[in-house]
Amino acid sequence: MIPVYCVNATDNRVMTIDDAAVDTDDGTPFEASVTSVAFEAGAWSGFRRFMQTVHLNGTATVIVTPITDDAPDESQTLPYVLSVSTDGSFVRQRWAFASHGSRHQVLVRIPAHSGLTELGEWGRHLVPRRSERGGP
Amino acid sequence: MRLHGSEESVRAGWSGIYEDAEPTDAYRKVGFTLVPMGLMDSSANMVRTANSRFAVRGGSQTAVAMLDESGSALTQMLTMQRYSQDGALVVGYRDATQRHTLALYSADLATELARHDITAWPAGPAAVPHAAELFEKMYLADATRQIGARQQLVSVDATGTMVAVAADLGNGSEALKPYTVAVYNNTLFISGQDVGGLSAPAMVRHSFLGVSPDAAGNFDSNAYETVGAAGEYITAMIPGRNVLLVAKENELYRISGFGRALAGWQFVTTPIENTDYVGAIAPKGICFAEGYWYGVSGVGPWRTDGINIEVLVRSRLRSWRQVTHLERAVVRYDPTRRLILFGLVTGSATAINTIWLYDMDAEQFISDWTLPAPANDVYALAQQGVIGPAAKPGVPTFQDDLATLTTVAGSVTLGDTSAPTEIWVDRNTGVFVLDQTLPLGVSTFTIQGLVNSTQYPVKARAVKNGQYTTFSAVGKAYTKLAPPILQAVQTASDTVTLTVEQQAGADSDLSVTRSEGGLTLATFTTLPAGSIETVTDTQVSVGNLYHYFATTTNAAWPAAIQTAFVEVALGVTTTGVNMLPPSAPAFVDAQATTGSVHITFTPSDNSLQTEVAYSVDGGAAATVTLAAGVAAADVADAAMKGTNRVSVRLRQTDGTNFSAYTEWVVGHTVIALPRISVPSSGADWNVIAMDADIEVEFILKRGTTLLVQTPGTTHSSYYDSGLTAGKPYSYNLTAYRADWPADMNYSGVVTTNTLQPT
Repeated sequence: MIPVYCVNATDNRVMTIDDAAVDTDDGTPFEASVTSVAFEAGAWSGFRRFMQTVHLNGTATVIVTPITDDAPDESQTLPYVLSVSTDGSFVRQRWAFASHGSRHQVLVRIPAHSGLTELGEWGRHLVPRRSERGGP
Repeated sequence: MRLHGSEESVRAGWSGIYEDAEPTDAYRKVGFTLVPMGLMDSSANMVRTANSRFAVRGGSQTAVAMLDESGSALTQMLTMQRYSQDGALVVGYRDATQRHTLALYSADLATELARHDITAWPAGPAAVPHAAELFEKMYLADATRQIGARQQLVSVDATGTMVAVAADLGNGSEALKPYTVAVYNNTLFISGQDVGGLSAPAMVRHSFLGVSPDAAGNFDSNAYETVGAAGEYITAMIPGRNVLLVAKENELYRISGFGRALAGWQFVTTPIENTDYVGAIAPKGICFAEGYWYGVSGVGPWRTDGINIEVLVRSRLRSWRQVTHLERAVVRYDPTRRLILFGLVTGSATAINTIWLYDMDAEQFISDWTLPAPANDVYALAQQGVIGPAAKPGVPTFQDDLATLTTVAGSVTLGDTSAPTEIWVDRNTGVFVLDQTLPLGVSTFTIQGLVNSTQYPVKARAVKNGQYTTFSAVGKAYTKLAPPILQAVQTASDTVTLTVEQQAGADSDLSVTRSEGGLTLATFTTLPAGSIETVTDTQVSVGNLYHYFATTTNAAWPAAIQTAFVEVALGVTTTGVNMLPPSAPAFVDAQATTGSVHITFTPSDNSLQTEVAYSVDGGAAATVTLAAGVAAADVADAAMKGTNRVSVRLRQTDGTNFSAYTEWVVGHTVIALPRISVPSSGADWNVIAMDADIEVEFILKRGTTLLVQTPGTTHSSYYDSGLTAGKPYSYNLTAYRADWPADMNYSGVVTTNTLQPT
């Protein structure tokens, strides 16, 4: 992969970015993240589980925070430090939540990693409840 | 309460960004677009992989820290651009001097090829440089709005030589100060300047076909056109699809046609209708990639195929509100990631701090990268894909102690561990020839098929993607010196004549020595190979064995292999018969008995008899003569009764003359069986007596139970109590000598049985 160069505005350096040779930004870990668009079960529902497949050849800290009705629920934030699985290919990690609302999102953050770290398929488990806020 | 049968579990990968989309399940539609599963509301520092996963992007590190011509660090970097002749052109600025510096690098930025201050640009505020390449030169312009503060157009060649470009626009030669610059159909297009150095924001000029734009006759004064409204700046000009796209802040135009070597304007200009207010704010705000121009202007990111306009901001409306300073925005093409990089200033920043990634295949924004430092430009340098090795190898060095007569073992410090390394050898033909190519990461090598006593020049270079480094400095490899040939002949009862032939190179010295007495018999300096010398030793005595050495020395050779020698042994006899002793006797312990030892040896001549001299336990020596050709014998003597040390030495004889003796060598007979008896016993006890002729350690066991192991002695007894009346017992006794050979330091076992009285 060819490097992308950053032509610095505040010093005399040209820096690489997305440089596979290093896992930090000039020595400082950077955070990668994905926030899903909202999903729902058509009414009031419980967000019970979230699964994310992580392909990696080193280690990665993966933190998932549920977002319910546009409000992140930091109390249910769960970090996992993942490392290469026994078969060397991927780790399928599950997070259990107890969020209830109409619209759910997940914020997947990777604040630190080493080596190649990729997010593959994901899944979630919603349990619809009797409507307390009206149905669709 | 749970509604049975209504729970969901959906799996998908992550895809593009669509901010503030309605929920994907119950409300699948956003406008009239079906929103796919896995859509993201936002994403940071990720990149889509070829197998549609989302990977955390790689990190950042310094590729170049640029200095001005005097060696002072610059304070901001302004732009970077691909340059076909070298790789990359980079322009920086130093606040203290208010001067600009230009550097040319290899495509991977690993090698600085040229660096000069731009002397044609007087001290002033930082420029807004951008460049276009024509006829193997880069043309560097300054997109500063006010023409009075704008720097002059400069051409740069592959060596960094710069020419300040001037042209006659109708009123004599004047400095060209274009706002934008582009190359289309082998002509240089400039905008923003009218005759007399006047600002003409909408005016475009093109160079004369076939004339270098920095040479005389470069621009025809009538080769100009005004595009759109006269007061509105042409902000960017980017070629593609056989047209030159000309952008203003809210308009796009196409210039098409082919230049002719005629005076006047040679092209056709047509506007793109219904541009939807797209355009560019600055020259780096548009790029062309794979059939589309991508740009950013006040309405957001957009793309066009030159006819239709498509605004791309709609999925990013929330984030777009955070984008500021569009005059600093850059749009770049990354051909390997298949991305368009929108470098944007967001929030309160004043320089580019974010890159929006637009996936050209998925036609979606897929992630934003947060830059490690504020930037004035971002650039994906495509040549990196075929870059050569990062650096040349170090000078080859050699492990001299591993050299042989025909091989040398060397190593080289790799300049690039991801590049194979070639080893070239001059086999003294005056021409270096490729000897071998070391695989990735391998730094050691062996060169074979060489000639002894020879020095070989060796050098190395790295190769990667078909590109080579320069050669390393030349290292020197040395094969071992060939030892001389030495023959020793007894020519009289007191004379040995030695013939020595030099085998090593012409500049080697040679000496002949004798170890007995430490004599140096002769030395020869710089004796050429093939030279034969005769040396006489008259200090010999009959009956002695002499060891002669011929040694070649070359002081120019590495210390580990500076000498080579050959050894010849000669026994001097009364008649001058050249008789050598046999090899020293070797004892075969497995064939020793209590009354004999077994020896083997190699006669110096199978026609000779061998006299065996032996001594048992230091007693008087006796001899026995073996027949010619015999190479093994049992040496037996009545004095050997077991547990004996037997010293043996040998010499050859023809019945009259004798060679010198070998050294004494000591062997051992088998340890004799000890004696055991039970001289007295009771109902529950026994006294066991142990005897041997030679001091041994007694190891006494009842059955397999160890009762005692005594220190070395010839007699001992043991009182064994606690026995049972009327019961039989068996005692086993072994003799042991720790100083005997390991394979024969135990005797056999002798046993006696008892039956306890009742």
